[in-house]
Amino acid sequence: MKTRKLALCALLTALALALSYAESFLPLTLLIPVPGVKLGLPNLVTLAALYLLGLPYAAVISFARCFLGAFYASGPVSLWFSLCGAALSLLVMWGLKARCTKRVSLWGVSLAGAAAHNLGQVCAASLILRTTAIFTYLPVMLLASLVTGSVIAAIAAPVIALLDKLSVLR
Amino acid sequence: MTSPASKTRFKIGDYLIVAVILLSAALFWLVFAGGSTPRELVVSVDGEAVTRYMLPLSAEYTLDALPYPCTLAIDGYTVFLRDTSCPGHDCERDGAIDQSGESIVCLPNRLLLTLTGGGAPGVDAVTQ
Repeated sequence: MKTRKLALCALLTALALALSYAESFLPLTLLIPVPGVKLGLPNLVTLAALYLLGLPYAAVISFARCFLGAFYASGPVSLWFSLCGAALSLLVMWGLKARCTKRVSLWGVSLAGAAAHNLGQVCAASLILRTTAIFTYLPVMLLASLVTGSVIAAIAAPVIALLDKLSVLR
Repeated sequence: MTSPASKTRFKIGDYLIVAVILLSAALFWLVFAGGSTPRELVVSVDGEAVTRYMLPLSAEYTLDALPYPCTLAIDGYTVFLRDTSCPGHDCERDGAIDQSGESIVCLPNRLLLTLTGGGAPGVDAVTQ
């Protein structure tokens, strides 16, 4: 990894952490009263990194954000949730972007990523709590991911287009 | 260089992804919220769940800690309020509830009775 790319990864990880902290002030659970529902602002960074830098960089940034977020703020149990959500989300987004570019736009990638993130987190919660009752939350979380995925795609599209035009991340 | 991200019109695959998410939500709802969880009566006061009763149950409880005491009657999967001392008696007029998702509300007492989960015996519909 070149020094410039390494610095870029560190910068984007810091940005993802800042966005993660910022979204804790958005009371989304007032609108959708289900624990764990978030807008997923850090996914903006993951999406941008995936489109402009590629999977290895997006994975490094995403996992570094999970580890640092758990270390500084949320704790080890939360790390498990974050990692499962981030890993599944990244895998799904990369798969769609790599294999289905002609048929799936950034909107579909973001929507599928948001849904996969929720699915990963609920699976992790189910394993930790050793109950399938937690899956009763999943329908609402999947519907919420349609909203959050759309919002993230609407923000990410112009941001990625601009960064691409300016060649900032290249 | 034009990134694929700059082409942000909805494509056919995007609609498919939305459909898959909606179908998955419906499927998980049917499997996990519709039938496998036990039927439960949740008694909430001031928005906080204070007691839960697993159904079926045959019992009567006098809720005398409320501002307007009343009697909570549970008969199998059917729940209703009676002998209420509140001024409106709306909760009595609401009648009995026996389906998941149904509620009885007593505003003077800030009391909410809600049935959750599936698991009740019987049929959802009858075809002829």
